[in-house]
Amino acid sequence: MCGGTDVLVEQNPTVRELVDLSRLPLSYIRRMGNGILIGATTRISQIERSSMLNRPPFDIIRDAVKDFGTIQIRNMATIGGNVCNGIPSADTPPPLIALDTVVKVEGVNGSRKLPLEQMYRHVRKLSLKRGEILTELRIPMSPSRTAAAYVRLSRSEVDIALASAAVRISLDRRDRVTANRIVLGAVAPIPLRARKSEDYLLGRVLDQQTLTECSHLASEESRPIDDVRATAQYRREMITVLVERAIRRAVSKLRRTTR
Amino acid sequence: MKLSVTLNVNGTNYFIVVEPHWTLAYVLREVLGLTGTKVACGTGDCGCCTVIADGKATLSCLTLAASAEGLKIETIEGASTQFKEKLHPIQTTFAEIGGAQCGFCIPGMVMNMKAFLEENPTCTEADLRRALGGNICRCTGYAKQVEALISARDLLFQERRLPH
Repeated sequence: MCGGTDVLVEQNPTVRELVDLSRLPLSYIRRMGNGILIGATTRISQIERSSMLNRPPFDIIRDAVKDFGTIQIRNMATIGGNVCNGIPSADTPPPLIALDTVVKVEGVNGSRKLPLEQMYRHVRKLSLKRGEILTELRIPMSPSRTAAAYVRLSRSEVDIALASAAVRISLDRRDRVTANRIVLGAVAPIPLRARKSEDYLLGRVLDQQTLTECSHLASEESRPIDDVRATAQYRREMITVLVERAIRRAVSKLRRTTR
Repeated sequence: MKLSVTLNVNGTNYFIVVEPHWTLAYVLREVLGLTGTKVACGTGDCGCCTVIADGKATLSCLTLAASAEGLKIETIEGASTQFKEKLHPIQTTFAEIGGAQCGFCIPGMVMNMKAFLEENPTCTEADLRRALGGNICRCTGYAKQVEALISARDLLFQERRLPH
Protein backbone atom coordinates (compact mmCIF):
# COMPACT_ATOMS: atom_id res chain seq x y z
CA MET A 1 0.00 0.00 0.00
CA CYS A 2 1.02 3.61 -0.32
CA GLY A 3 -1.56 6.36 0.08
CA GLY A 4 -3.97 4.17 2.03
CA THR A 5 -7.12 5.79 0.67
CA ASP A 6 -8.44 2.46 -0.63
CA VAL A 7 -6.70 -0.16 1.52
CA LEU A 8 -7.50 1.45 4.86
CA VAL A 9 -11.12 2.13 3.89
CA GLU A 10 -11.79 -1.46 2.91
CA GLN A 11 -10.24 -2.99 6.06
CA ASN A 12 -10.17 -6.35 4.35
CA PRO A 13 -10.05 -8.95 7.17
CA THR A 14 -8.01 -11.35 5.03
CA VAL A 15 -5.11 -8.89 4.89
CA ARG A 16 -2.59 -9.97 7.53
CA GLU A 17 0.32 -7.70 6.66
CA LEU A 18 0.74 -4.39 4.89
CA VAL A 19 3.95 -3.09 3.37
CA ASP A 20 4.13 0.69 3.12
CA LEU A 21 5.77 1.66 -0.19
CA SER A 22 5.64 5.40 0.39
CA ARG A 23 9.34 5.71 1.26
CA LEU A 24 10.54 4.11 -1.97
CA PRO A 25 12.05 6.66 -4.41
CA LEU A 26 9.20 6.18 -6.88
CA SER A 27 7.61 9.60 -6.74
CA TYR A 28 8.56 11.38 -9.95
CA ILE A 29 7.41 12.57 -13.36
CA ARG A 30 10.24 12.56 -15.90
CA ARG A 31 10.76 12.98 -19.59
CA MET A 32 11.99 9.94 -21.51
CA GLY A 33 12.77 11.09 -25.07
CA ASN A 34 9.41 12.38 -26.18
CA GLY A 35 7.58 10.13 -23.77
CA ILE A 36 7.01 10.41 -20.04
CA LEU A 37 7.79 8.24 -17.02
CA ILE A 38 5.64 8.43 -13.91
CA GLY A 39 6.73 6.70 -10.69
CA ALA A 40 4.12 4.50 -9.05
CA THR A 41 3.99 6.42 -5.75
CA THR A 42 3.52 9.82 -7.41
CA ARG A 43 0.59 11.51 -5.67
CA ILE A 44 -2.45 12.54 -7.66
CA SER A 45 -1.87 16.15 -6.52
CA GLN A 46 1.61 16.12 -8.09
CA ILE A 47 0.09 14.97 -11.37
CA GLU A 48 -2.57 17.65 -11.12
CA ARG A 49 0.16 20.32 -11.04
CA SER A 50 2.76 18.81 -13.36
CA SER A 51 3.83 21.17 -16.15
CA MET A 52 5.18 18.15 -18.01
CA LEU A 53 1.63 16.88 -18.37
CA ASN A 54 0.06 20.09 -19.65
CA ARG A 55 0.31 19.48 -23.39
CA PRO A 56 -1.60 17.09 -25.65
CA PRO A 57 -1.89 14.20 -25.55
CA PHE A 58 -0.44 13.80 -22.03
CA ASP A 59 -2.84 16.38 -20.59
CA ILE A 60 -5.54 13.67 -20.69
CA ILE A 61 -4.06 12.46 -17.39
CA ARG A 62 -4.67 15.88 -15.88
CA ASP A 63 -8.23 15.78 -17.25
CA ALA A 64 -8.64 12.53 -15.33
CA VAL A 65 -7.36 13.76 -11.96
CA LYS A 66 -9.14 17.12 -12.02
CA ASP A 67 -12.23 15.69 -10.35
CA PHE A 68 -10.43 12.96 -8.45
CA GLY A 69 -11.82 12.83 -4.91
CA THR A 70 -11.06 15.79 -2.66
CA ILE A 71 -7.89 17.81 -2.01
CA GLN A 72 -6.99 15.54 0.89
CA ILE A 73 -7.54 12.40 -1.17
CA ARG A 74 -5.48 13.82 -4.06
CA ASN A 75 -2.65 14.61 -1.63
CA MET A 76 -2.61 11.02 -0.40
CA ALA A 77 -3.69 8.76 -3.26
CA THR A 78 -1.04 7.64 -5.73
CA ILE A 79 -1.34 6.92 -9.44
CA GLY A 80 0.13 3.44 -8.88
CA GLY A 81 -2.52 2.72 -6.28
CA ASN A 82 -5.33 3.94 -8.51
CA VAL A 83 -4.05 1.76 -11.34
CA CYS A 84 -3.48 -1.35 -9.15
CA ASN A 85 -6.70 -1.20 -7.19
CA GLY A 86 -8.44 -2.67 -10.23
CA ILE A 87 -11.76 -0.93 -9.65
CA PRO A 88 -13.74 -0.48 -12.91
CA SER A 89 -14.62 3.14 -12.11
CA ALA A 90 -11.02 4.26 -11.43
CA ASP A 91 -10.23 7.49 -13.28
CA THR A 92 -6.60 7.04 -14.31
CA PRO A 93 -6.54 3.64 -16.12
CA PRO A 94 -8.67 4.58 -19.18
CA PRO A 95 -6.54 7.65 -20.05
CA LEU A 96 -3.31 5.75 -19.42
CA ILE A 97 -4.47 2.88 -21.64
CA ALA A 98 -5.51 5.40 -24.29
CA LEU A 99 -1.89 6.62 -24.26
CA ASP A 100 -0.58 3.01 -24.74
CA THR A 101 1.07 3.09 -21.32
CA VAL A 102 3.43 0.27 -20.47
CA VAL A 103 3.92 -0.63 -16.82
CA LYS A 104 7.13 -1.71 -15.19
CA VAL A 105 6.61 -4.43 -12.62
CA GLU A 106 9.35 -5.48 -10.22
CA GLY A 107 9.56 -8.38 -7.87
CA VAL A 108 11.80 -10.94 -6.27
CA ASN A 109 12.45 -12.52 -9.68
CA GLY A 110 13.50 -9.32 -11.43
CA SER A 111 11.52 -6.84 -13.47
CA ARG A 112 9.26 -7.05 -16.50
CA LYS A 113 7.20 -4.73 -18.63
CA LEU A 114 3.71 -5.19 -19.98
CA PRO A 115 1.06 -3.00 -21.58
CA LEU A 116 -1.18 -1.60 -18.85
CA GLU A 117 -4.18 -2.88 -20.78
CA GLN A 118 -2.98 -6.45 -20.23
CA MET A 119 -2.61 -5.99 -16.49
CA TYR A 120 -6.36 -6.12 -15.94
CA ARG A 121 -8.02 -9.53 -15.68
CA HIS A 122 -11.27 -8.84 -13.86
CA VAL A 123 -12.67 -6.58 -11.14
CA ARG A 124 -9.79 -6.26 -8.67
CA LYS A 125 -7.88 -9.05 -10.38
CA LEU A 126 -4.54 -8.11 -11.91
CA SER A 127 -1.94 -10.13 -13.76
CA LEU A 128 0.61 -9.21 -11.06
CA LYS A 129 2.14 -12.20 -9.31
CA ARG A 130 2.68 -12.61 -5.58
CA GLY A 131 5.73 -10.59 -4.58
CA GLU A 132 5.47 -8.19 -7.52
CA ILE A 133 4.78 -4.46 -7.35
CA LEU A 134 4.13 -1.90 -10.02
CA THR A 135 6.97 0.62 -9.97
CA GLU A 136 6.64 2.81 -13.06
CA LEU A 137 4.24 3.91 -15.78
CA ARG A 138 5.91 4.51 -19.13
CA ILE A 139 3.97 6.62 -21.56
CA PRO A 140 5.36 6.49 -25.11
CA MET A 141 5.61 9.45 -27.47
CA SER A 142 2.75 10.06 -29.90
CA PRO A 143 2.84 11.23 -33.53
CA SER A 144 2.35 14.94 -34.16
CA ARG A 145 -1.25 16.14 -34.39
CA THR A 146 -2.31 13.84 -31.56
CA ALA A 147 -4.61 14.85 -28.73
CA ALA A 148 -6.53 12.99 -26.09
CA ALA A 149 -9.41 13.73 -23.75
CA TYR A 150 -11.16 12.07 -20.83
CA VAL A 151 -14.73 12.75 -19.83
CA ARG A 152 -16.63 11.20 -16.98
CA LEU A 153 -20.14 11.24 -15.70
CA SER A 154 -20.72 11.24 -11.96
CA ARG A 155 -23.34 12.40 -9.50
CA SER A 156 -21.01 14.98 -7.99
CA GLU A 157 -17.42 16.07 -8.49
CA VAL A 158 -16.18 13.95 -5.62
CA ASP A 159 -18.21 10.82 -6.44
CA ILE A 160 -16.79 7.97 -8.51
CA ALA A 161 -17.55 7.74 -12.23
CA LEU A 162 -20.83 6.17 -13.42
CA ALA A 163 -19.25 5.85 -16.83
CA SER A 164 -16.26 7.43 -18.54
CA ALA A 165 -14.53 7.60 -21.89
CA ALA A 166 -10.89 8.24 -22.75
CA VAL A 167 -10.08 9.00 -26.38
CA ARG A 168 -6.82 9.59 -28.23
CA ILE A 169 -6.93 10.77 -31.82
CA SER A 170 -4.15 11.35 -34.37
CA LEU A 171 -5.02 13.21 -37.57
CA ASP A 172 -3.14 13.57 -40.84
CA ARG A 173 -2.90 16.78 -42.89
CA ARG A 174 -6.28 16.14 -44.44
CA ASP A 175 -7.88 15.61 -41.02
CA ARG A 176 -8.30 11.89 -41.45
CA VAL A 177 -7.85 9.69 -38.39
CA THR A 178 -4.51 7.88 -38.60
CA ALA A 179 -4.53 6.32 -35.13
CA ASN A 180 -6.91 6.29 -32.22
CA ARG A 181 -7.81 4.70 -28.93
CA ILE A 182 -11.24 4.61 -27.33
CA VAL A 183 -11.21 3.29 -23.78
CA LEU A 184 -14.33 3.05 -21.64
CA GLY A 185 -14.42 3.14 -17.85
CA ALA A 186 -16.98 1.78 -15.35
CA VAL A 187 -18.93 -0.15 -18.01
CA ALA A 188 -17.12 -3.51 -17.81
CA PRO A 189 -15.14 -5.46 -15.20
CA ILE A 190 -11.95 -3.91 -16.58
CA PRO A 191 -11.12 -0.73 -18.55
CA LEU A 192 -12.51 -1.61 -21.96
CA ARG A 193 -10.95 -0.87 -25.36
CA ALA A 194 -13.82 -0.25 -27.79
CA ARG A 195 -12.01 -1.90 -30.66
CA LYS A 196 -14.86 -1.89 -33.15
CA SER A 197 -15.25 1.85 -32.76
CA GLU A 198 -11.49 2.32 -33.01
CA ASP A 199 -11.39 0.34 -36.27
CA TYR A 200 -14.39 2.23 -37.59
CA LEU A 201 -12.72 5.61 -37.04
CA LEU A 202 -9.47 4.76 -38.83
CA GLY A 203 -9.05 6.69 -42.07
CA ARG A 204 -12.23 8.72 -41.56
CA VAL A 205 -12.82 12.44 -41.27
CA LEU A 206 -14.61 13.29 -38.05
CA ASP A 207 -17.96 14.59 -39.28
CA GLN A 208 -21.19 14.31 -37.32
CA GLN A 209 -22.30 11.07 -38.94
CA THR A 210 -18.96 9.43 -38.14
CA LEU A 211 -19.10 10.58 -34.52
CA THR A 212 -22.64 9.29 -34.09
CA GLU A 213 -21.84 5.92 -35.63
CA CYS A 214 -18.62 5.56 -33.66
CA SER A 215 -20.19 6.40 -30.31
CA HIS A 216 -23.05 3.95 -30.95
CA LEU A 217 -20.55 1.22 -31.75
CA ALA A 218 -18.74 1.96 -28.48
CA SER A 219 -22.00 1.78 -26.59
CA GLU A 220 -22.74 -1.64 -28.10
CA GLU A 221 -19.32 -2.85 -27.04
CA SER A 222 -19.79 -1.76 -23.43
CA ARG A 223 -20.85 -4.35 -20.84
CA PRO A 224 -22.19 -2.32 -17.93
CA ILE A 225 -24.03 -3.59 -14.86
CA ASP A 226 -26.91 -2.24 -12.78
CA ASP A 227 -25.81 -0.95 -9.40
CA VAL A 228 -26.72 1.59 -6.76
CA ARG A 229 -25.36 4.45 -8.88
CA ALA A 230 -27.03 3.75 -12.23
CA THR A 231 -28.71 1.14 -14.40
CA ALA A 232 -26.84 -0.69 -17.13
CA GLN A 233 -29.15 0.79 -19.73
CA TYR A 234 -28.43 4.33 -18.56
CA ARG A 235 -24.69 3.70 -18.57
CA ARG A 236 -24.90 2.30 -22.10
CA GLU A 237 -26.79 5.34 -23.33
CA MET A 238 -24.37 7.68 -21.61
CA ILE A 239 -21.43 6.02 -23.36
CA THR A 240 -22.72 7.36 -26.67
CA VAL A 241 -22.72 10.86 -25.20
CA LEU A 242 -19.35 10.53 -23.47
CA VAL A 243 -17.50 9.06 -26.45
CA GLU A 244 -18.73 11.78 -28.79
CA ARG A 245 -17.90 14.43 -26.20
CA ALA A 246 -14.40 13.02 -25.64
CA ILE A 247 -13.66 12.94 -29.38
CA ARG A 248 -14.89 16.52 -29.78
CA ARG A 249 -12.79 17.65 -26.85
CA ALA A 250 -9.66 15.94 -28.19
CA VAL A 251 -10.18 17.52 -31.62
CA SER A 252 -10.71 20.95 -30.10
CA LYS A 253 -7.39 20.58 -28.27
CA LEU A 254 -5.73 19.85 -31.63
CA ARG A 255 -7.26 22.97 -33.14
CA ARG A 256 -5.89 25.02 -30.24
CA THR A 257 -2.34 23.65 -30.22
CA THR A 258 -1.28 22.70 -33.75
CA ARG A 259 -1.19 25.83 -35.78
CA MET B 1 3.36 -6.56 17.48
CA LYS B 2 4.35 -3.12 18.70
CA LEU B 3 6.34 -0.52 16.81
CA SER B 4 8.36 2.33 18.28
CA VAL B 5 7.91 5.50 16.31
CA THR B 6 8.80 9.14 16.64
CA LEU B 7 6.06 11.53 15.60
CA ASN B 8 6.68 15.21 15.07
CA VAL B 9 3.46 16.99 15.97
CA ASN B 10 3.23 20.77 16.13
CA GLY B 11 7.00 21.00 16.41
CA THR B 12 7.34 18.54 19.32
CA ASN B 13 8.83 15.06 18.95
CA TYR B 14 6.84 12.31 20.66
CA PHE B 15 8.45 8.91 21.21
CA ILE B 16 5.59 6.44 21.31
CA VAL B 17 4.81 2.77 20.91
CA VAL B 18 1.99 1.92 18.50
CA GLU B 19 0.20 -1.08 17.07
CA PRO B 20 0.76 -1.28 13.28
CA HIS B 21 -2.95 -0.76 12.57
CA TRP B 22 -3.36 2.36 14.72
CA THR B 23 -4.30 5.37 12.65
CA LEU B 24 -2.73 8.76 13.10
CA ALA B 25 -6.14 10.12 14.16
CA TYR B 26 -6.36 7.51 16.94
CA VAL B 27 -2.84 8.24 18.16
CA LEU B 28 -3.34 12.01 18.11
CA ARG B 29 -6.54 11.76 20.13
CA GLU B 30 -6.07 8.77 22.40
CA VAL B 31 -2.31 8.63 22.92
CA LEU B 32 -1.22 12.27 22.66
CA GLY B 33 -4.48 13.73 23.97
CA LEU B 34 -4.76 16.15 21.05
CA THR B 35 -8.53 15.86 20.76
CA GLY B 36 -8.96 18.90 18.52
CA THR B 37 -8.68 16.53 15.55
CA LYS B 38 -12.08 14.88 15.09
CA VAL B 39 -13.10 11.57 13.58
CA ALA B 40 -16.52 11.28 11.98
CA CYS B 41 -16.75 8.85 9.05
CA GLY B 42 -13.42 7.11 9.43
CA THR B 43 -13.40 6.36 5.70
CA GLY B 44 -11.92 9.51 4.19
CA ASP B 45 -15.17 11.06 3.00
CA CYS B 46 -15.91 13.84 5.49
CA GLY B 47 -12.61 15.63 6.09
CA CYS B 48 -13.15 16.08 9.87
CA CYS B 49 -9.83 14.39 10.68
CA THR B 50 -7.75 16.60 8.34
CA VAL B 51 -4.29 17.50 9.61
CA ILE B 52 -1.36 18.97 7.69
CA ALA B 53 1.54 16.61 6.96
CA ASP B 54 4.61 18.17 5.34
CA GLY B 55 2.44 21.08 4.22
CA LYS B 56 -0.26 18.88 2.64
CA ALA B 57 -3.82 18.48 3.92
CA THR B 58 -3.98 14.83 4.93
CA LEU B 59 -6.70 12.58 6.34
CA SER B 60 -5.43 11.31 9.68
CA CYS B 61 -8.08 8.55 9.74
CA LEU B 62 -6.52 6.99 6.62
CA THR B 63 -2.91 7.45 7.67
CA LEU B 64 -1.24 4.80 9.77
CA ALA B 65 0.65 6.29 12.69
CA ALA B 66 3.68 4.15 11.85
CA SER B 67 3.70 5.60 8.32
CA ALA B 68 3.62 9.14 9.68
CA GLU B 69 7.11 8.91 11.14
CA GLY B 70 9.39 11.57 9.69
CA LEU B 71 6.53 13.84 8.61
CA LYS B 72 5.98 17.29 10.09
CA ILE B 73 2.44 17.01 11.37
CA GLU B 74 0.40 20.02 12.24
CA THR B 75 -2.96 19.76 14.04
CA ILE B 76 -5.55 22.36 14.95
CA GLU B 77 -3.77 22.78 18.31
CA GLY B 78 -0.71 24.10 16.45
CA ALA B 79 -2.50 26.08 13.76
CA SER B 80 -2.49 29.43 15.53
CA THR B 81 0.88 29.55 17.28
CA GLN B 82 2.51 31.87 14.75
CA PHE B 83 -0.27 34.47 14.98
CA LYS B 84 -0.36 37.23 17.54
CA GLU B 85 -3.97 36.83 18.69
CA LYS B 86 -3.30 33.12 19.17
CA LEU B 87 -5.87 32.48 16.48
CA HIS B 88 -5.27 31.71 12.83
CA PRO B 89 -7.01 34.26 10.54
CA ILE B 90 -9.38 31.48 9.43
CA GLN B 91 -10.37 30.93 13.06
CA THR B 92 -10.83 34.67 13.60
CA THR B 93 -13.06 35.12 10.57
CA PHE B 94 -15.04 31.94 11.30
CA ALA B 95 -15.75 33.32 14.78
CA GLU B 96 -16.59 36.83 13.57
CA ILE B 97 -18.75 35.83 10.60
CA GLY B 98 -20.34 32.77 12.19
CA GLY B 99 -18.80 29.98 10.14
CA ALA B 100 -19.35 27.36 12.84
CA GLN B 101 -22.55 25.97 14.24
CA CYS B 102 -22.06 22.66 16.05
CA GLY B 103 -18.35 23.00 15.32
CA PHE B 104 -17.47 19.35 14.89
CA CYS B 105 -16.22 19.67 11.30
CA ILE B 106 -14.43 22.97 11.87
CA PRO B 107 -10.93 21.78 12.96
CA GLY B 108 -10.61 19.65 9.83
CA MET B 109 -11.98 22.46 7.71
CA VAL B 110 -9.55 24.99 9.19
CA MET B 111 -6.61 22.68 8.55
CA ASN B 112 -7.61 21.89 4.96
CA MET B 113 -8.21 25.53 4.14
CA LYS B 114 -5.07 26.70 5.97
CA ALA B 115 -2.94 24.46 3.74
CA PHE B 116 -4.95 25.55 0.71
CA LEU B 117 -4.56 29.28 1.40
CA GLU B 118 -0.85 28.89 2.05
CA GLU B 119 -0.44 27.32 -1.38
CA ASN B 120 -3.01 29.52 -3.14
CA PRO B 121 -2.98 32.99 -1.56
CA THR B 122 -4.56 34.53 -4.66
CA CYS B 123 -7.35 31.97 -5.06
CA THR B 124 -10.82 32.96 -6.23
CA GLU B 125 -14.12 32.30 -4.47
CA ALA B 126 -14.73 29.45 -6.94
CA ASP B 127 -11.36 27.92 -5.98
CA LEU B 128 -12.27 28.17 -2.29
CA ARG B 129 -15.63 26.51 -2.85
CA ARG B 130 -14.01 23.69 -4.78
CA ALA B 131 -11.38 23.20 -2.09
CA LEU B 132 -14.08 23.13 0.58
CA GLY B 133 -15.44 20.04 -1.20
CA GLY B 134 -13.05 18.07 1.00
CA ASN B 135 -14.99 18.92 4.16
CA ILE B 136 -18.56 17.96 4.86
CA CYS B 137 -20.56 20.15 7.24
CA ARG B 138 -24.12 19.14 8.03
CA CYS B 139 -25.11 22.32 9.89
CA THR B 140 -24.30 25.37 7.88
CA GLY B 141 -24.88 25.11 4.15
CA TYR B 142 -21.38 26.60 3.75
CA ALA B 143 -22.46 30.20 2.95
CA LYS B 144 -20.94 31.79 6.08
CA GLN B 145 -17.88 29.59 5.77
CA VAL B 146 -17.18 30.74 2.22
CA GLU B 147 -17.67 34.33 3.36
CA ALA B 148 -15.26 33.77 6.27
CA LEU B 149 -12.71 32.11 4.02
CA ILE B 150 -12.73 34.99 1.55
CA SER B 151 -12.15 37.35 4.44
CA ALA B 152 -9.35 35.14 5.82
CA ARG B 153 -7.71 34.98 2.40
CA ASP B 154 -7.70 38.78 2.20
CA LEU B 155 -6.26 39.09 5.72
CA LEU B 156 -3.49 36.59 5.01
CA PHE B 157 -2.71 38.12 1.64
CA GLN B 158 -2.49 41.62 3.09
CA GLU B 159 -0.20 40.45 5.88
CA ARG B 160 2.08 38.91 3.33
CA ARG B 161 2.30 42.15 1.35
CA LEU B 162 3.15 44.32 4.36
CA PRO B 163 6.83 45.26 4.62
CA HIS B 164 8.60 43.63 7.55
